[in-house]
Amino acid sequence: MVLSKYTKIYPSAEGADSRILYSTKNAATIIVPSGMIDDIEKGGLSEEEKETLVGLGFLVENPDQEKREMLGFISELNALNKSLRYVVVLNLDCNLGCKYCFEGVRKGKFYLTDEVEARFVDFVKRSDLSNKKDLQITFYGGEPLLSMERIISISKKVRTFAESKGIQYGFSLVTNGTRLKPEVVRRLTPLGLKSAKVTLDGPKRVHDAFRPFRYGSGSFDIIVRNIEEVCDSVRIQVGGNYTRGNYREFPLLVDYLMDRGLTPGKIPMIKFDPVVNESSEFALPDFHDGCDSTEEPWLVEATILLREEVLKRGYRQPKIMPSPCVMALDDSLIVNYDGTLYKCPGMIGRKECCIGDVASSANNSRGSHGLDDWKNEDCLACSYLPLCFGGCKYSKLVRDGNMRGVNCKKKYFDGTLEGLVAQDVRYDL
Amino acid sequence: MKREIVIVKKGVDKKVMAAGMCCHGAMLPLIFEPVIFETM
Repeated sequence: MVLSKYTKIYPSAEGADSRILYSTKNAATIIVPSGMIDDIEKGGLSEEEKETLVGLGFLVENPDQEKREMLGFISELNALNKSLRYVVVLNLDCNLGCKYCFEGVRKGKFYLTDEVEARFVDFVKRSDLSNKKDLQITFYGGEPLLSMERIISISKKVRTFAESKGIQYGFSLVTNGTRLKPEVVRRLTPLGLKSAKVTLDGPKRVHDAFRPFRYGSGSFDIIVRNIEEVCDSVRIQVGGNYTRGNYREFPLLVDYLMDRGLTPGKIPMIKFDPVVNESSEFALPDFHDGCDSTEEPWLVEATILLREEVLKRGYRQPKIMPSPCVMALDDSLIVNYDGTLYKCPGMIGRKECCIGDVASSANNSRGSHGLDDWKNEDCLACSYLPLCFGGCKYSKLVRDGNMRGVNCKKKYFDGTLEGLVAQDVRYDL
Repeated sequence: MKREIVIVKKGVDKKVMAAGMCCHGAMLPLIFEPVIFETM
């Protein structure tokens, strides 16, 4: 028996005599006496200890076999996935003028039409629902609530179809929150609205500078008021996009939300992510403050600090565990307003990333998108593989102009994972 | 003397992993819980 390749050993807060063992392949986490680590290598474990560690995935009989199993990890998750998921880009229009919008110059008065809606609904009806329990749509934009009647029309049709097949239908919104009024939630909930992700980029001063209305005034107060008015009726996740220059101010937002009564009981999760630069082809010309790579050192501090600030105020954070990228899921597609199909929302409008059209079908993208490029000896030997699987193809495309090869996150995890796992232990995630 | 293994977390079932997906822009902590349909 040997230690699994996908085990990380970190110091424990309980003292020098103990260590945290964390499995990147299943997120199992244990605290053991330091001497036990030596005994794993020397073969000095008791049968009981051995049995426990094998059961949790920390000990394996055959490291080569473990590597072979890792090759099939994503396929296994796909086989277990009971959801058919679509992200539908309803329009590329928006009432805000965010300084860093990644859709950049792709934006405009482009809306999903009746004709595309009919083709999309037919496409859904042709999809393979064997083994599926639910059909999920994320309505996206632009700003999806500029297409309110389209959401209603699509949901009525898709819901009727799903129910006729004995599966559940539900949808969510990724919205800027300015139009998320109680009346909107009242109309959409009976049709399957489950949740809405709303963006607040830090405290009012920062948010209003980054996410003003197109005519110039700030959007912060309206969004917070809307959240207050709807959060008892629909699940709200607050997201926020930070830059190197403003991330330290984001905890002020969390304090402000708490002061307004938007406590963890009202909005369970707040999650902050960095703004990612777009390629010059699509980027807004005056914004260059996003990040290009996980290797930027400030991201290590920002990631751990912001997660800590959110957790210590009682809000939830996603656990650190393997979870497939949207691109790796066979049964997940992005539908652009014109009916073209993609694997990632960041790729809409890029001809080289288009994999089909709702009028016909989706092509297999594994080869063209390099989704198996992590299947090499270096990646298989990396303890972070189950948390990475080749990294973000979108950011690789933006940075390098292609999706071939991997977007290695080793440096990032070297800097962050110990702190993130310690948080998971401390906050019992 | 018997040594204690403190199990903080037993490990996540692959069915749970399969229900999640990474959000656009979340290129960092790649993990994204099934935010939208957790209850489904």
